[in-house]
Amino acid sequence: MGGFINSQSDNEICEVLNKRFSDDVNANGQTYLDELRQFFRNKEKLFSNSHKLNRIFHRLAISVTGGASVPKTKNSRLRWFHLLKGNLPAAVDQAIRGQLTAILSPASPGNPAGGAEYVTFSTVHQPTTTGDQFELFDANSSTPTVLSDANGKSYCTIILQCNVDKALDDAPGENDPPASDGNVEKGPIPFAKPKPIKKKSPPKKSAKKSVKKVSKKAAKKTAKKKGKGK
Amino acid sequence: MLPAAHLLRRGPHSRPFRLRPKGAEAIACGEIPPWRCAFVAILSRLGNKDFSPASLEARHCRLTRFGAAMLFCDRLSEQQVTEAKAANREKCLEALLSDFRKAFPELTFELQLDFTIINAQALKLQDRLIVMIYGGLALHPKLGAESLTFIILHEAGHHFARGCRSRRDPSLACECASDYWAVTVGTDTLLQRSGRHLRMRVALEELNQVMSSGHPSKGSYTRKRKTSTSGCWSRAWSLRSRALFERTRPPTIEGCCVTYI
Repeated sequence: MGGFINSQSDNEICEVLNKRFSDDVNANGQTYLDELRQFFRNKEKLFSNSHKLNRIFHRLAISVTGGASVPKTKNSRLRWFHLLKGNLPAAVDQAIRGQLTAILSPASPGNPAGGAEYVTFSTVHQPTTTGDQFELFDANSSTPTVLSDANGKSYCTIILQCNVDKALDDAPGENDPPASDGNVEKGPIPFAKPKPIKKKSPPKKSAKKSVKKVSKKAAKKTAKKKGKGK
Repeated sequence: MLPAAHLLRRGPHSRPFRLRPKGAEAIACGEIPPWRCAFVAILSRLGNKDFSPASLEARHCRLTRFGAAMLFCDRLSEQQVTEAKAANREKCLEALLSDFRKAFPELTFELQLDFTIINAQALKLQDRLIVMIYGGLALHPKLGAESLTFIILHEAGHHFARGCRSRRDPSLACECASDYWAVTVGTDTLLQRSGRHLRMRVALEELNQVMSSGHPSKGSYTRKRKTSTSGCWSRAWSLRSRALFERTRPPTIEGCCVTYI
């Protein structure tokens, strides 16, 4: 997002989604996005109308964090779940489902988004074309735009535009975590275990030791040879 | 009423410091972090002499509320907005943006005064490179032309700086790279093309009042490490302001910048 002042809850939401839809490689050698695509294509159509957006968000988030809910602050989390649970304009809800379904579906000439290497999520406050409080860029389209970054990688951006200068409503009664979608859920979204960072082994000591050992052995051998020669 | 030394003992985070009775000695031996001293200096300069725990607590709460922006935001009060508008602030902003448009014609600068969010933002909308300045920041009573100039340069840096990418949006430069670009290439370009000179010391003094204890430094889910070993300074304002003042080169390791996940 590039905001000047870091914004905790917004950052947490965007980053957990960015990570889940990223081209970072997990422990299985697969990108996070490819792993999600595999789950979507083989097991569960995550963004069908029988799924609730707040529940999908929660499942996606814990598949990255390994269990911790996002955002970390409970009040912000409840407000976010409340917004996603049917409180977005219907056109925005459908646009979110449409764009993310296109990204997770197989790539084709009619669906270049299926080949995008990663997806970024952000929010922006600016007037919307519909005049509604929220709008998904561009004009609630269900087709994501595929862009290329400086490294030549293709990516899509999901941008939620907000038209009203008003904080999200408090939602103290919201379910946390959101209730299950029932039979449509085909198990948890696989936990994208990050690729372990290789620790640098301290080779210097052992190398020194082996050098010493070799040199000692060599010394012994030469000593024996010398003895035999005598 | 308590003397300023009391503030040095008790941080804005209410975590008691093990402080020797002589404040100056403790500062000298590094027991009190320099930013805490700066905080006292700022408060004193603002004419605030009430250093009682209750007052500090209230001030801390007020400051820590900065930083929650965008969807989960605090905003400038209506009264503050009205006062700023009455003080001809909009004319100053227009002059500032006019200079920026002259210096960086590739960028679209949007002033969204109707949104009272205390923030600014760099984003790409298809082919457009946008710098968005929201009303809460543009009309903030504690921020003047110098700090706003720096903030806009920082946002421009997200689009132009090379090196480490933002984890939030890899098409943008990270915070540290943007900061460095702002105080080097950005400042020079602005001066050459528009004649506007950024006085960084003044900008930092203004920003200190808003950022000192409000800059979030927590919120890690999988990373428990609080300090960065990569040299990234975007997590704490104290590190950041120092890096800006000294024009420290940003870290060059890919993906090393602060992340919340």
